[in-house]
Amino acid sequence: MMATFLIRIISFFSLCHLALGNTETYQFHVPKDFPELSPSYVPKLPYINARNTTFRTITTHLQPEAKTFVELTGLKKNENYMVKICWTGIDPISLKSIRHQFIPHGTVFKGTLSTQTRAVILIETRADSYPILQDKVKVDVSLAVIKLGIPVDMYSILFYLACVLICAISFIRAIDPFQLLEVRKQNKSD
Amino acid sequence: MFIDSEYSSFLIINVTFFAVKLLQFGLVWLAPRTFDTSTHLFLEHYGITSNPWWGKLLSWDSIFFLKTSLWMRNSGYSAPQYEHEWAFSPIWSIIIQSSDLQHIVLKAVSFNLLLHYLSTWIVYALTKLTFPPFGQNVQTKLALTTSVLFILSSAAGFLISVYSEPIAFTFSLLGMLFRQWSISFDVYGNLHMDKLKWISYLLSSFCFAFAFLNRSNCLLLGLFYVHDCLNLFKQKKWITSIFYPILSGTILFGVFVYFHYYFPYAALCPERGEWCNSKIYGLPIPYQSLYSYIQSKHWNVGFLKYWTPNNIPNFLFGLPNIVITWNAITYFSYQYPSRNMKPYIWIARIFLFIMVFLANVQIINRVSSFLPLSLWYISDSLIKNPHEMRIVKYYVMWLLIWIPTQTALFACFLPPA
Repeated sequence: MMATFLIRIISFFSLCHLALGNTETYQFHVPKDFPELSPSYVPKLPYINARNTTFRTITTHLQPEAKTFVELTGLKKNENYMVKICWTGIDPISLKSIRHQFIPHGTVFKGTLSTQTRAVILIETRADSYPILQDKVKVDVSLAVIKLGIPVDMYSILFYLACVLICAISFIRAIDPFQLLEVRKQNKSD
Repeated sequence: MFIDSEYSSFLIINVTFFAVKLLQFGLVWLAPRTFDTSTHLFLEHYGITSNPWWGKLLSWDSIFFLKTSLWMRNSGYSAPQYEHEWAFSPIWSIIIQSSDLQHIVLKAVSFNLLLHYLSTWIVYALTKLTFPPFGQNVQTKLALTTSVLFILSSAAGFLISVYSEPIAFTFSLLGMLFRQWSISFDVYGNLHMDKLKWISYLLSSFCFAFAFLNRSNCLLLGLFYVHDCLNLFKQKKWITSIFYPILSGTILFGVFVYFHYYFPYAALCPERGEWCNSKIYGLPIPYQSLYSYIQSKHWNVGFLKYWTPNNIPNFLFGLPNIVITWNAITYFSYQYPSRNMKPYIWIARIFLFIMVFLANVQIINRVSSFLPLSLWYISDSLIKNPHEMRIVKYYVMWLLIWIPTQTALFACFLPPA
């Protein structure tokens, strides 16, 4: 019941894509046959390590007009993930695209070669105002497991919002403004 | 309810105001985390590496005012750094200037609380001045109810942040008060200007102009002068119309042209190109105001541009205010027609059209605070017309749920923006 309610809330907010000016999200599924990385593997690109956690954020820099790659390690097989990119509105950029890519083992990717199968997120940005932004932009890249259709970092927020909503509705039921107005009408007729 | 209470207006308004604000700050403080995690990036940019609780007040557009304020102070420029930042009142950014980010936030939030409090009393005075005294008691009840509703604004969380809405609605309402004080209508609906109150009428235009500089929708307040001018023309009072509405309207129009056309042109052109190139008769004034240009370019503002399936939630967010404004227009047009209400109805009609068909519709929840027409409709319905209560009842109930919920959403950096 509660899960359905929370899923409805998150679905509602996920529709507000345009309103989320400086945040972009992207969801992807890790296949059942995705091979695990060996514990000794050290990524050569900026990376988020999701091993032993369901949610992690890194802060990285990216060029305003470029493609940036972030490697994802510690991904679990047959799991859904949400990647979230947040940057501050004072840096006028927008995201042209986000997508994921699985790099087969033994493949050269961006000048790096690995014997492991890798997962990478591609973030493509463009400068968005005048004058054109030249400096590197600091961004937060988050990776969260999706459970019950909701990214896990949203659970505390949704729980809080549900509490606020329940309190507000209980308050309305307790004071019932309309009933009080009826009292006023009765007083008037007296 | 409070309208039948024997407590004084002063006590009720003060208790309501401080209770609502306390609740809102409590909700911000309790918010567990933000969905958009960029606030810490913003704070770090200005040397704040800790994670202060007031960082949760810096959601959405707040950072643009803060950034421009610091940019102007540090660079010595009198204009924002980037083109799109012109959409966020540089005047408000100047007003809140201080030594560092923390002090700017403190100053802006304090100002906004003070301005909201002051404007609550301005609404009270304006209501008393606008509505005829059917009886001292009824008039006081109407003013009190309107003021309490003004505290319970759907702008909710935006009013405890760094937004420019409070300064805009304070000066809008103050301008309306000045105008209302200096005019009167006779039984035939003819407008009369009190010669001794010429300064008051003129002051209204400075208030409207200042409100407009902080929120561009306040330009619609110029319709007061169009209304007054037409009324005086009908009476063939040419001289009065020149010294009252035409002069006042010209001041407002002049401020509009200077700050939305000439000043940005002087700051950005000809290097900017594009917007600069379409000049009117070679004058340093482009066809489109910079505000319209950047709203269209950066925020997708334009006729029916917002009418897409992914914006359905935003229309739902704005729906209660759309309905209540529509009802207020209908109510004061047909059920309770009054000469005094006519310019308010004109403004509300155009405002509603802009919100629904041109703008990002959900902003109606905060932007509509500059016009008290719907508050008067609700108050008057509560006092006089029980059959009108259904819509009003649902609206008030929605407000009581919306204020804490929107404050919590704002603190968690979630829509609506």
